[in-house]
Amino acid sequence: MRSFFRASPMLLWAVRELMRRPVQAALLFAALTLTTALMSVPLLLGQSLSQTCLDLLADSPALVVRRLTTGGWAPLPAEEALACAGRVPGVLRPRVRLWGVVTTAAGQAVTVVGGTPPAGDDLVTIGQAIGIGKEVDWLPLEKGRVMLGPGLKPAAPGVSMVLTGRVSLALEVAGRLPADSSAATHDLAVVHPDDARRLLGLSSRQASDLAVDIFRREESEALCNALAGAFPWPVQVMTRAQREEFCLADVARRSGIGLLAFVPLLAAVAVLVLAVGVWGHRQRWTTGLYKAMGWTGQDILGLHVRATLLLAGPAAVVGIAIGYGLLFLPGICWVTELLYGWSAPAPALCLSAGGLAAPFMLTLLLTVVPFLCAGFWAGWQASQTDPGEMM
Amino acid sequence: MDSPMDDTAGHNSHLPPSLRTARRLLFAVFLICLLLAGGMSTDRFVRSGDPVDAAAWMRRLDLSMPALWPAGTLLRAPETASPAVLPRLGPHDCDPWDETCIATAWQLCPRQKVTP
Repeated sequence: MRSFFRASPMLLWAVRELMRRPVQAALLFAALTLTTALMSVPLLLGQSLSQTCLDLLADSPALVVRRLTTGGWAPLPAEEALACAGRVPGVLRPRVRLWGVVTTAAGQAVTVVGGTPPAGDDLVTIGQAIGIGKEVDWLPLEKGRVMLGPGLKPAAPGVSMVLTGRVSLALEVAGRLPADSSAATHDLAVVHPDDARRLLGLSSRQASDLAVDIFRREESEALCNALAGAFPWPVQVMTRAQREEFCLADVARRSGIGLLAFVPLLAAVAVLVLAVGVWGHRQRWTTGLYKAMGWTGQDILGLHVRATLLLAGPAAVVGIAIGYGLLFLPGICWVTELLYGWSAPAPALCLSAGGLAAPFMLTLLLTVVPFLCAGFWAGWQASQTDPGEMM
Repeated sequence: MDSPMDDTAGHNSHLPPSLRTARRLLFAVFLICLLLAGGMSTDRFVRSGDPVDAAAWMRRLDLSMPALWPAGTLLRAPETASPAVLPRLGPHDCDPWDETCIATAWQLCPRQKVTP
C-alpha cells in the first residue's frame, strides 16, 4: 500500500486539490453518489425480480394441464387424467393438484393448496432442505388444520381461521410456513386434501389440474400437442416457458415504470457535468500558476483526470452499494410493498453474478462516464491554455 | 524547472502536512471502497438471493408461479386463463378491470362440473 502511494504522488496532489475546496468536492460527491444510487435501483430491481422468478419457476411443474369447457375450466377426473397422461411417451411423474382461490373472513383472497401426504424419503429430503421439524410441524397435516404462508394472519398456532370457498371451514392454525419461503408461499394456505376438496367444491375423485415433468425443456412444445390429444375432453396445456413469459413481461412492466426516474436523473447528470466544467474554469488561476512553475500540459491534464476519478470512483462504489442495500439488505420490504402490495416479510430476491454486472455497467455508463468525460475535457482545455491568459 | 511532482516522488516520508492528510484520506477512501465492494461480493455469494428455501416449497407443493402476485389474479395463476373466453366478458358480475374478482370467479365457480 505504501509503495502504491509512493508511486502515485500526483494522486496525492489531486486529493490535495479536492481538499482545497472541500464543500464543492463534497457536494459533487454527494450528488454523484445519489444519482448513481437512484439509477442503479430500478436496473437492479428488474434484474433481480426476473432472476428470482426464473429461479423459482425452474422448480415448478414443466407442464400444467387443465380441463376446459365452454364456460372456462372444469375439474379433472383424477384417475382418468393420470391414466391418460401416463400413456404419453416423454411425460414424467404425472400428478394431480388440488388448489384454488378462497377468501378469508376479512375478504382477502388466499391460494389454498391441498398438501399431499409425505411419500417416504421425500419428507426427509425436503425436511432437511428447509428445516421442517425445527421451525414448523406441518406434515402430516391433519384434517381441520391449516398451515399459513408468512403473509397471512393470524399466525399463532391454535387459533382458528375461517376460509370460505364453496363452503366455509373453520380450520385450526397448525403453524406457519418459514419466512424465507415467502417468495413461493406468501399468501398460501396448506390444508389437508379432503379440506381442500370441500373448500373448492370437488368430489373425492376430482382434482383441480394435472402437473407433469418432462425430460428436456425443448420437448415441452411437442408434448403439448401429444398431451392435448391424449385426453377425451378439451384441455389447455401451459408450459413453463409460457409462465416465464407472463412473469418476465410483468416484471418488465413494473420495473420499467422505475426507469421513468431516469428522465430527471439524466438531467441531474447533465448538471453534474456542467458543475465539473465550472469547477475546472474556477481553477484557471491555480492551473496557470502551476504552469508558470513548470508543470507541463500532461501534468495538468493528469491532475484533472485524477481529481475527477477520485470523486467519481468512490461515488460510484458508494452509490451502487446504497442501491444494492436498498434492495437486498435483510428486512427490506419496500419493493414488494410498493410493487405487489405485500406487508411482510420480504421475499429473498436473487441475482446472479452476470445479472449484477449488467446493471452496474449501465449505471456506470450513464453517470460516471459523462462525469469523467467532463473532467477530462476541463483538464484538456486547461492544459492547452497559455498560463498568461489564465492568470 | 521540473514538475513539482518529481520533487514529491520518492519523498513521501517528508511530505508536508497537507499531503500527509491527503494520503490518509486517500487510504481511507480506498479502504472504504474495497470494503463495500468486498461486502457486496461476499453477500452475493453467501446470503442474499438464494431462493433455495422458496424453491423447495415450489417443488414440494407443486406451485406453478411464485407468490409475488396476489392470489386470484391471472398473473398468479396464468393457467386459469381460458384461451377461448375473454375473462372480462365472463358473466360473473365483476368489475371489468378487477382481475382478482374475475380470476376468483373462475376458481370458485367452474361453469360445468364433471360428474365422477
